[in-house]
Amino acid sequence: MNTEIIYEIQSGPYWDWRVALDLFLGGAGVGALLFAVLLDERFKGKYQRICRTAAWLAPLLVGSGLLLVMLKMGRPFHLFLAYTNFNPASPLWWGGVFQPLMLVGAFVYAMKWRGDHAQDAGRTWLGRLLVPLAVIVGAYHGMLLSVIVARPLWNTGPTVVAAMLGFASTGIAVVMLVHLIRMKLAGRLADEGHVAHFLDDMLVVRNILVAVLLLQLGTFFLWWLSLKFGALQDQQALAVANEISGPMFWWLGIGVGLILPLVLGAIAVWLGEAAHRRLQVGVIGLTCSLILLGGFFFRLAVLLGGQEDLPVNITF
Amino acid sequence: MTTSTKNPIWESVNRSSTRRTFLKAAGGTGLLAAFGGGPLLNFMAVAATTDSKNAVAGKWVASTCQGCTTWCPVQVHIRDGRAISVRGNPHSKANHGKICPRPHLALQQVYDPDRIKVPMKRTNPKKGRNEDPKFVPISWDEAMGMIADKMMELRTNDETHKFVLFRGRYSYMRDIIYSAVPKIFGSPNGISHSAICAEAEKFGPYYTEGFWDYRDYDLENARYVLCWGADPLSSNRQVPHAISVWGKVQDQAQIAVVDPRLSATAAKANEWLPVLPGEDGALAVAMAHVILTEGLWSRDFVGDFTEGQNLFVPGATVDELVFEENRTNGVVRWWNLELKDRTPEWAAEQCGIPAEQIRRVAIGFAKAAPRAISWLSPGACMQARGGYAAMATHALNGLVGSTDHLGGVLQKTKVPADSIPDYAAYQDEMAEHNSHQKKIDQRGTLAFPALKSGKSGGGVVTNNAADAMLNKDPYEIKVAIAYWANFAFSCSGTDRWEEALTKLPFFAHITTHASEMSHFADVVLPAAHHMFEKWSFVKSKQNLYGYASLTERVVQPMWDVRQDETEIPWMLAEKLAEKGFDNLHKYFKEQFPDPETGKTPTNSEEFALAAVKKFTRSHWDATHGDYGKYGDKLNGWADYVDKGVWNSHRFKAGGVRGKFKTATGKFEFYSETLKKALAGHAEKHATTVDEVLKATNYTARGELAFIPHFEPALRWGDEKEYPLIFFEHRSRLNREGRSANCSWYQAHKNADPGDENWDDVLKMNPVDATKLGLKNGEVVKVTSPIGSITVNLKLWEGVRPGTVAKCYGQGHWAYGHVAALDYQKRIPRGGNNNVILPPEYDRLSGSTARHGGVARVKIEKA
Amino acid sequence: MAKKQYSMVIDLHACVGCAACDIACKRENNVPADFAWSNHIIQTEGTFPNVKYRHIPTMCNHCSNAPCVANCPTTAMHKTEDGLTMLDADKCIGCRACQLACPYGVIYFNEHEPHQDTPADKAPVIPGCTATLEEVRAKTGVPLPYYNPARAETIPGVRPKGVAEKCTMCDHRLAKGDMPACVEACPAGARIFGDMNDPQSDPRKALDKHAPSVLRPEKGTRPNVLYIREF
Repeated sequence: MNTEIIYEIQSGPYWDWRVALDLFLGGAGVGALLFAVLLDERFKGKYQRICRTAAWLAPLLVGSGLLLVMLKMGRPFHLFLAYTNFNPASPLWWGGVFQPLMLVGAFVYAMKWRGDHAQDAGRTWLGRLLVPLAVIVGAYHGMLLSVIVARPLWNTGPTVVAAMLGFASTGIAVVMLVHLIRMKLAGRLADEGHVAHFLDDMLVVRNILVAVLLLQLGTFFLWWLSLKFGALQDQQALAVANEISGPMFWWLGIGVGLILPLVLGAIAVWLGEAAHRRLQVGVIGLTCSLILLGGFFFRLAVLLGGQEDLPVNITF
Repeated sequence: MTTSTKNPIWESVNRSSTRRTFLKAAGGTGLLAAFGGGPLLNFMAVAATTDSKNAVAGKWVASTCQGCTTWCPVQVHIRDGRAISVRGNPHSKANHGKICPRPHLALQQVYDPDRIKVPMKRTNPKKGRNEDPKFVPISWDEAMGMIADKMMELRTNDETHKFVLFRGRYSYMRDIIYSAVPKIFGSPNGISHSAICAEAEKFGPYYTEGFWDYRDYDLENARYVLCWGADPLSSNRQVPHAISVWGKVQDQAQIAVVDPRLSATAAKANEWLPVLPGEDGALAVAMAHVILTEGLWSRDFVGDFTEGQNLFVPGATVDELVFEENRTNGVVRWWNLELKDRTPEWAAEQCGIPAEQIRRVAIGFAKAAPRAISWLSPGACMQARGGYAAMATHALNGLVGSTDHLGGVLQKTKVPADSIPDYAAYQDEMAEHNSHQKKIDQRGTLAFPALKSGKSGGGVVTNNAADAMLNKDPYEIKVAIAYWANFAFSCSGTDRWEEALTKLPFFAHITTHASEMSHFADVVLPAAHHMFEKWSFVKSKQNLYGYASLTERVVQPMWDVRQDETEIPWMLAEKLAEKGFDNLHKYFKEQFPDPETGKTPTNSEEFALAAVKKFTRSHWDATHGDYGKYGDKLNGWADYVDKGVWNSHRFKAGGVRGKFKTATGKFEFYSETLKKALAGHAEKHATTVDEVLKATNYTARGELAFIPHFEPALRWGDEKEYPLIFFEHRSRLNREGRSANCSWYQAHKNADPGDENWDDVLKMNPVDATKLGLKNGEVVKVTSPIGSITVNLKLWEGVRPGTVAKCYGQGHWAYGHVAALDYQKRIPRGGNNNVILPPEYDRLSGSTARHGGVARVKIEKA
Repeated sequence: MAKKQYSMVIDLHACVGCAACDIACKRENNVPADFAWSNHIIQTEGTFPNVKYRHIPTMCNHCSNAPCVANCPTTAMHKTEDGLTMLDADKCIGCRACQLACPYGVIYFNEHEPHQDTPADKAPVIPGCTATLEEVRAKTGVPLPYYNPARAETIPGVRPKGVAEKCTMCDHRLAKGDMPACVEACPAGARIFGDMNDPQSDPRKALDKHAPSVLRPEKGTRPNVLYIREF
């Protein structure tokens, strides 16, 4: 039986690439901050430069994301209204509170990395204080979408988990990539000492990254499962999203952003010490780039794919 | 279950190819896509100041909507001198304060920036569709001077009959411009639009019960409503009343709709009979067959067999003497000549409706009778040879005795009005002589009997005027004025009109918008909008009430416009007088004193008002002989203006029975009335009735000509080359083809079942699309034997396989920047059906066969 | 609980799908032509000749549990004492979260200046003889010639670029004791409006006779636009 439903509403997307970029940049910023705090904790000032890179990237990324999203607003200059009117039910309102807070915190934290201080108790404590804030902001990026009951694609638990895993992977990736580029521009691969030692030390990071990527893969799978075998509207939401941004999600988000980096990682491990140092650095750079690319496109795909509304299930 | 394709989110324009089971996101796009900036903010500041609570609260004033021919009394809300809202007139008993969507759209007509602001004249002497007329604004004085000069030339040459006045829509002020002007000037040629409207519909009731008019319907008491192409929830007749009672009708009656398209009414009916276009007659005679064989005719109305036993047995002839007829004439002859072999099985083959359904509906209808309505509409009879389908469908009301019965089909109450004062004294010899010349539409010729009210040539053959003008037969037309008409758009075979208008030496067009017809004009005169800027009155009926409703000048016109039927004739008369011919002016001055003051009108506006008062005096002037006799007693002119409507007494069924104005005084299944009319026409041309039928392209011969009978559909085009049957339908938003320039029309077009917003789609059943390899949303070229249009394809289950349907009203290449996709390049939005519909006729009524699937088409990817 | 709960019961049996409501709403509220505060879902089901057509009028459901209100970061979207969901345009920052949160597609956002024609249409179709929208505006002194000033009594008469807009149940008319424009315009009497908290109200009486349905009940929004009977 054929059923045709026509319901002409305002055409989307209501939230476009600018919001996806905000989610991506904000997430990467959160990740960068956490990365900086983690390195500082773990190596006690051994890798100041990369920490500094990470610390500065955090406010920069979060800030530019915020700017973008402001530009997307119909009336950006009215944003202050969020601070004179309280709506704790709205994740967006919380975002409006926490994101600028984190931005300020991250900026102060970055400032604390000025000069050559191997150890700074104030910085360490500020970093520790910022961790929960950063996690909240990271989670917010997922909550923002997941609370919207109207959009079944977003209205799931994995949305939040994926956003949080996303900030972890893209945070690390952006820091590593920027740091490599920075060092390259400065004519040194790693001033922190012999690159091999640096990379050895970074193994923990690599392990985290691999774990995150694997977890993300698992999360996406769960996400897909819950929609594919969920209620009718969930199945339809998945079908619609697949139509709109399926290729973007599967090829760029999963293929380029998760599978390829994992494969490259595996190759790097297999190559081991036999490989040329430069090659390894190149692989790291490439891997990070792919993770970032994937990190952006999975968000864009989810953002766009989730907005096109579902069939109006007229149940009467 | 889904038919989803791709997602429209990336598509910027409404006319996307997507037809999915999903929300179709649209709007905010297409033509109305807004562009940043603009002066709106300034206006919002202004608006804010006028919004203060001190602003005048506004008032409701009466007028009439002429968006369809229901002609509903309405009220317009006026605030700060602007019309801002419309509602039904609560004083009206006919529409009881309800209106359909149309009157709302009128706001966008009156304030349409594309209206003509001033008179304009053509500066490019070359005429043609592809010529830019290069219109420039001129004064009213210059414009009237140009027309008067051309008319005076005709007088100089004693060829005043070569003047024609074309009339489209009208009010009851019509006789001033339509009769007095040509007749006093000296021309027989008042050519109305009636024959492209619904004359074939009137043919049915006239030749059965002697009533040349639309009927009224007692919906509230009906137990069965059988609609023949009628779509009262969406288009004429009595739309607001039908809408308002439909829920109740559904509760207490069965509803069956005969229509090849799932119409708005079919969507709210119990039975849909998607008849093959043009085969309504087959269906109707089969239903009559069932009613007789099942013994379900009205004994009271029709009579009975003297022995009581039903001898109407399929295939068997009945002796006329064994049936005693009551209020009808010739039921047995009808049976013997036509019905006995018209079994549902035969009809099923012919019209595509299963025999079982035909039987079910016929029995249901007859069992519910006499509280049953067989509702005939143009769809079922404005077809080639459609006059007989009109008779057959209406005859069902006679068969079951539902005509003039409670819950049935009714005639009308009298709505008194004074007619135009006699003008014979103002006709000089030339006028007297020339106004008796033959009319330009060739009415009454052998091939165009146009048997209105029983008279050969009694009716108009509107669409034939184009051919007659081109052939200069009976003579050449040199000067034409058209008002409220757009025949180059609204008549089938538009190319003939374009050619005729191109060759017409002088043409003046009175119109609100520069339409297709204006494009060929030498002078275009801006008309007042009927609902907001014009004084006139109309007569109509619905809900068993007759009424007269005023159209009033409720706002001061924004532009330099004049009232078409009164002011412009006055100004023309003044100009003609200036040039030496003052009979018309004298007539207007002497015969139209203001009934209230007795003063002679001194200018066009005074004349317009005086004329309305004069014609309607019986409604409001206690000194008039008819005052209060037939309905309301309005307390003077001011009271009439305030209330806006005069209501008749309610129609009481039963008074017409036994007093039918037919040759026999009975309801005629064997129409002696038609026999007389046909004989008269044959005699006039010294030939036989059979020869008339041959010349007019009917298949019947002999006695069949006088009874409702089946005539096969006539179609242009060979089935092999043109595999699909094209048919058209009306829109619930059409203001008679004049609302396509309203953004509200476009933005709500999908309120017509199957249609799309901002589009003019061709609807095709998916089965046919699969055969032709066509997809939903594709641009297709629709070609008939006479022309082609290019439109978007819409696959829809609500249209009969083998046929394709498109709504009438769009495809304007002029009219404005919304109606036309590109006004300057003359590119239409959608396609005009009349480009592909051939100029075919139901010649006995003179009607244009715009329905009945008269054109076969082929459809290709464009 | 709100003191009043204004609600609309739509009788689909009476509704004939004529769209008078949609058009009257545009006029009453000075809504841009491409927005539809009052809107409809059209469903065609089945195959020829067994085809079922339905026209279901839609509008803001003024949900008791309104996701647009929950998701608005500035409380611009809020519930009133009468149970209406209203948008305070002054507080709207144009983030469009309400649009995303609404499961019914009834909220519109002014991406551009409202009521603008395309640039090509700013020139008269016949120079000197026809007008432009700007000319009509200049002559009337209002944004639209049929501009309804009463609309501006509670919200901006025309909503500016950058803010959202939606059905207000014609709160400006309710304030004067009038019915919403769509109710007045409905020739079928299919729209039954009133206070759901009042057992004597018309909608309550309608619900006593017929069991209601709502759109997308699974969303948990508790709509105050309810449907009775079948189209």
